[in-house]
Amino acid sequence: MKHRIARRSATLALTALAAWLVPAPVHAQDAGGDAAGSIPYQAYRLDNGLQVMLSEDHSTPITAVDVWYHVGARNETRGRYGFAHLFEHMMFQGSAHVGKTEHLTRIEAVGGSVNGSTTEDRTNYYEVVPSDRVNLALWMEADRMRSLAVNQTNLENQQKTVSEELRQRIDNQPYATALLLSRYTSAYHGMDCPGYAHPPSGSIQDVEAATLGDVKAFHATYYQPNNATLTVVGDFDPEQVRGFIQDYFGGIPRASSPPAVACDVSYSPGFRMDTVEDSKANVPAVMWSYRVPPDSSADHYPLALLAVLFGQGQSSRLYRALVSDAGAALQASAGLDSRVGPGLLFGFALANQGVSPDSLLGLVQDQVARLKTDPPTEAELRKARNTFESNYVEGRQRVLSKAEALQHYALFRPDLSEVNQDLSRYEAVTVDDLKRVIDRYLTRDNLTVVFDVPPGTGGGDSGGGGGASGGDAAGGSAGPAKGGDR
Amino acid sequence: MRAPRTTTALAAALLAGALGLVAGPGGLAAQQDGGFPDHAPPPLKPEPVHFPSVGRDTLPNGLRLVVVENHEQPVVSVRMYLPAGATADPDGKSGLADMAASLIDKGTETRSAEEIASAVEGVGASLNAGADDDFTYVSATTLTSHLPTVLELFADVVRDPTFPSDQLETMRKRRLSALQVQLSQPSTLASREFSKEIYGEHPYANAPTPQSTRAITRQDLVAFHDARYVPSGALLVFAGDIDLDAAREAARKWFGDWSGKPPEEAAPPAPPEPSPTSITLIDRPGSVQSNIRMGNLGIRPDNPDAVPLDVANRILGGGANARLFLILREQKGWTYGAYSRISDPRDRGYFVATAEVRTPVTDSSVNEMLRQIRRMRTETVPDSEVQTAEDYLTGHFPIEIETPEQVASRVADVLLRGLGIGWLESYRDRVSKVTPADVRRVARTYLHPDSLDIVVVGDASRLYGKLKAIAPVRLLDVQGDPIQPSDLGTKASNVQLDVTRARMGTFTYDLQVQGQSYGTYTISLAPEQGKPTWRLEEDFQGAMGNQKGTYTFRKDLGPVSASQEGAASQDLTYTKGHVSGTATVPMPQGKTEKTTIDTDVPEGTLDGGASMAIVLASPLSEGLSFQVPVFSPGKGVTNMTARVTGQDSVTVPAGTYDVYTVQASGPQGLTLIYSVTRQAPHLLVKQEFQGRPVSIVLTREEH
Repeated sequence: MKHRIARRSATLALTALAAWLVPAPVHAQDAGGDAAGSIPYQAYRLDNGLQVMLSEDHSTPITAVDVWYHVGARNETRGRYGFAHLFEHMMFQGSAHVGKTEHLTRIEAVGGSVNGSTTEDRTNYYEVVPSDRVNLALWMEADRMRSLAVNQTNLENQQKTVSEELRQRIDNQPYATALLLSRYTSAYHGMDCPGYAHPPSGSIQDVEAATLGDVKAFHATYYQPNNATLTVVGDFDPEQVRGFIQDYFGGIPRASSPPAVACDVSYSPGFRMDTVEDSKANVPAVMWSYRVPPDSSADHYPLALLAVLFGQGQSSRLYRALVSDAGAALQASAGLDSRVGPGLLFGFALANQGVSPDSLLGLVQDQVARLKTDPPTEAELRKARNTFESNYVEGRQRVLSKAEALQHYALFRPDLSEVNQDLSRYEAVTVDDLKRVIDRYLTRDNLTVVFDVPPGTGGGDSGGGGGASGGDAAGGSAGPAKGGDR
Repeated sequence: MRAPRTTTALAAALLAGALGLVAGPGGLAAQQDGGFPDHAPPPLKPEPVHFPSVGRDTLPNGLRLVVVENHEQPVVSVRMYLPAGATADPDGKSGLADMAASLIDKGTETRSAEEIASAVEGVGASLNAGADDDFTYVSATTLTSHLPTVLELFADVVRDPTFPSDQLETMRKRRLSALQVQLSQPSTLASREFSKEIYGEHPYANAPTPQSTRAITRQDLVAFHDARYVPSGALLVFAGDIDLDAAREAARKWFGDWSGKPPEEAAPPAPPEPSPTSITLIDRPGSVQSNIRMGNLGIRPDNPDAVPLDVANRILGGGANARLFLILREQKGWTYGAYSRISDPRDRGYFVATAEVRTPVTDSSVNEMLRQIRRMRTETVPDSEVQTAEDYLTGHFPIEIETPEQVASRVADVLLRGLGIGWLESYRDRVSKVTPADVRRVARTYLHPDSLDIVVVGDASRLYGKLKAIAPVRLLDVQGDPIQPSDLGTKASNVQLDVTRARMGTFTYDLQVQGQSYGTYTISLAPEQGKPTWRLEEDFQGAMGNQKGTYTFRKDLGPVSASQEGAASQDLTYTKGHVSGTATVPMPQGKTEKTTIDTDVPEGTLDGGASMAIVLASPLSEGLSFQVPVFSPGKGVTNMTARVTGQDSVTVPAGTYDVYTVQASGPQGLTLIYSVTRQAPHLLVKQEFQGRPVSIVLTREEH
């Protein structure tokens, strides 16, 4: 309490103009109506720069606490690939007042769910707790924002854990390597954007090379209130929770802004094709991606609907052509990967037995060509809009998904209020908008293709047990597989 | 080119005003650390947890109805459970229930597959169906405004599917491919084999195979649907923006005139009696991790020990504050996660502990998991640990019933297992009464470390010896067929190679991708002056970079050196039984990493980079088939196999040649198809890459 009074008087000491210009914390903003899927919220900012978003939902006695740090793979430089993700693990290794692993175990001990994740643009940490423990979750998040307790033993343990995570999720799985090429390494070729041109999982070698000094410096640079956003959604008393937030987070000093990351963008980097020889896979797959503009771009809306009508659901063009009509694919789909910087319209097709990867690619390309000669109809657009609306509403039912939606808009969009206005922009998309983005982005010069090819099975024992290699491929197989800069 | 908005730029822009006007960093210093409590705050006043009220009814035809009403969002989910699980699959037709479920929306008396998909997706709804061991389920989710449309489609696919033959064939093809894909997934391999071990002759062990998938006929589907898509024994669940009256009216409208009872079921064969702990090891060559699962047969859902067993499981491996996770991950760093679980299907469940660990610590992990299972029986768990587990289970309960759909799914689970809703309502209370003595008692009754079924999926050549020391090991390949320890690892060479069988000279090739030229590939082979060795040089100049390789070897292809430069580089020197040097090794994320090579290799190991020379130096003839051990930096020592598959006449830019076609596997896993002149000394005319649109064709010979 004492602390809060002290801060108020500091605010009062400012001029009236300053108090008016600074929305936080006395002037909260209330937004959000009761339209389907809308999320009523209050947003404000602490003096140290921490942006706070609160949304009440008393339907179940649970509350989500969600912190986003605006750091991810995009902030990593060469030799440090995978560092943001390793650091996410270190955030569970203890802080000044919370012991090793207790960031997990104390929340689980009260029945809560807890986790964190790292993407190219952000790192998140969240707890969903019975509503009487919202203060515990807030206190622990504040403790690790202000003070990370790390030592060499913890670091080495998490380096091993992360290496196992990568082995489990990538090295030991079919299609994973090709997927990462199609979404990161190859997809962002030909432009200066190293942050997006490598996957957040990074490299085991870089992860293992990290030092304790690196970890501390990373916290000092990025894990600061002015580089973070905090969301609380659920069954709580807003006045009480504001008090907790002020008490726990208010005293954390702001730091200087982290170094800015620039990312070149080109929508005509040249056609790129890679092949992964995948000893883990049994049937071939084709993955492809086109670069598209950032999530905040006006083109995002038609592209999102294009992804739906082109490749989501059994009535989508890709599914009908590849799975239903040609019987060539086991699965075929497309999606939009939206980012703070340039994103991707991507797709994936898994061949049926006996279907060659190039014939599969041919079928995909036929459908891309058809988008131009036989553009989406009003009916297709309406279907995509309806699907989008359903997903939008259904995706905003849980406290955690509402918290994540608020966080998404706070980071990806210039104005948080778009969180409750966006649906109308999707609904305003026209067929001409679709045609425009098809012509602009779905060009051969903007296309990256990755083949995933299993070892041959053409008669007899092929010896089994080969592995994805390529560097040491026999003779001329060095060609396309080794092309580029990987 | 445009500069995208970056994270930090965005944050800075939003902050600009506050930073300039409030005080700046210095002005806040006085407030630092003031007021931050150094202990976790105490709990607030707890809010009571109410299990939502559930509306129920039964139609005259036996169809049970459950409604979980919640008007927070304009969304309704509808789910029907039918007494048509995989346990009802006839002999030799495993997969029938699931195949039927996946085909019900592929054509009805009045609608085609395309019409159904367009109608459902046209209103933004989703419609899914599938089958597990006990039930078939059909589910739909829609905005309330489209509920009438969706219900009509829902009833149509449940009641009147026609299973069109062409749709069956398309689905069959996909299923066969999906079965292939499953063989590549270690967790699927492990769980499939674990079920077989646990359940034996019991139908829960059954899983679709290519044979059973091929055996299913349209008539089977129609008969299965007629017999088992019936209201008696089925459950229809509505959740969300709908009340009991509206749900009842909808159920009557769409399902009121539906009738039928499922056939009487004979009791399934009993699962096997417990036997001493043994290990089934599935060989997945090159696997970098081992997928471990160990367990034993468990309880039926109505067993009153289900709740204390939940608590015991929570302590052993139910989450991140459980023993397996804390020890195997947080203490040892062997795995990304280790857990245990109690499965509770309708008939008979099991207990299982699982982990995916890196290959070298597989045996240590198995031993540690066994030790922790044993400890649950031999030591009484401290009060505080039992309390923690109970606090989790009671505290987590409201999180699991957050949405109406989650509530409905919990309710359906208990009803379908023959339990009452009271089982759910009293769950938290019963958990909180479990004592440490109860935990030890149920651990002693239901966890059997001396008669566990253990399944490990991994690289058996590196695991077999170590696991044998823990328990008897049975070896299988990924297809599930038995293999012998002698089948593991690499085999010695069974061919005499002689480089003089290959044509000396310099040869130029065109590298083509989908028929387009991507670059030039040159090879030259010649004896080294004054030495008992030969030199093979290859040079690829292409649109996407250049790559050179130089290999020297003796007459029998025994390697002396192997170097590459370009995107991949290596510099290897072979001495008797040893290879050393440096190499860039391709990494899973599509990058390469430079590593030092210094390792022993078996006598007779050749260099994997010179596989084309190995083919040219072999005694090519109709029917030839051989294997040699080869070394590559990425994979170590593996077998390269080659086989003459036939003769042909091929025309390339350099001319027309009579050739043998030779299919060879390289260390890179890819199958290469070489066309080599039949006449010795042999010359490479064409090289193709199976399954890839890439080939190399001879354009010029220079002698």
